Amino acid sequence: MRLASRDHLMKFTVMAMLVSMAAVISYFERFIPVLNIPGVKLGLANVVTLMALLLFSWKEAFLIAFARVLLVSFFGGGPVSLLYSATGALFSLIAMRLALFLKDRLISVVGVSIIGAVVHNTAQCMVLAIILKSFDVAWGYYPILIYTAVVTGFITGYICLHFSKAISYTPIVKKQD
Amino acid sequence: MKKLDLVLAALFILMASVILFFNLQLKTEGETAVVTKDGEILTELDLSEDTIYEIEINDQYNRVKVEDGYVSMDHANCRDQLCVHYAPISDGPSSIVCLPHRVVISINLEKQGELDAISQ
Repeated sequence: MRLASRDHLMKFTVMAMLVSMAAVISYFERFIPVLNIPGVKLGLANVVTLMALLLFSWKEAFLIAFARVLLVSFFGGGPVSLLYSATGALFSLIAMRLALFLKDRLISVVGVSIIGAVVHNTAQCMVLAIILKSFDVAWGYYPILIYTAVVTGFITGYICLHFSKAISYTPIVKKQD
Repeated sequence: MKKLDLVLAALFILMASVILFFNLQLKTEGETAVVTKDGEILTELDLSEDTIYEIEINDQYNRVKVEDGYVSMDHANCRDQLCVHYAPISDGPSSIVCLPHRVVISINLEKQGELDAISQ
């Protein structure tokens, strides 16, 4: 049997750590209500998705986000909250991957994070509209969701900015290059 | 961090504010409350007279109360009870939502729809 290389192990371990971090953040996020509607979340776990995008490819980031969403729905959330977090995670991942093309030229990680957060909450709002079968009600909530998205996006982006600086001195990043 | 990040943030906040502004423009003197379940309109309650309206479909029970021009979810047998804790509403685009039973109480939904069409 061929043993996994050091680089492989390192990557695998970091990915597993990111999943557990994301799951914990996502779990505790449930206790911060945004709209009085169960399932709608702030999107703080996006911080890990963004870190994963910075460290690895979008495939690995997708795996991490997917594992997190599944894990947290098992911890207790139910199908409705799974729908919110899965849609939010998927759309914000796609948006942040696309926004990363503009990184360093136009915007920094903070900008990428804000875009991700706004798309995350827009996706949640769409799910809300579909579940309630009422566009009007969801539209009424949309401004509040954008305000919170800008704030959380800024916080997560700022964390990511400093995280990526700190991590650039460790072997985790060097091995990926 | 770059300047454009802040511009981006400001842009999103502006966008939200514009939406909020237009939503508040639609704020009308609430005369009726529309009760919907699964997107279908069940009834329209006159806010000027105190009434109690009960919905019971497939063991899903909700009681809507109208009192002093305000409408609230008086009682529900849903699991999270969030709708019961909503503050009573009387106007505007605000609404009371019971997510487990997909019951929505909103003010003048149809009137808002008309205004929406005009403003577009």
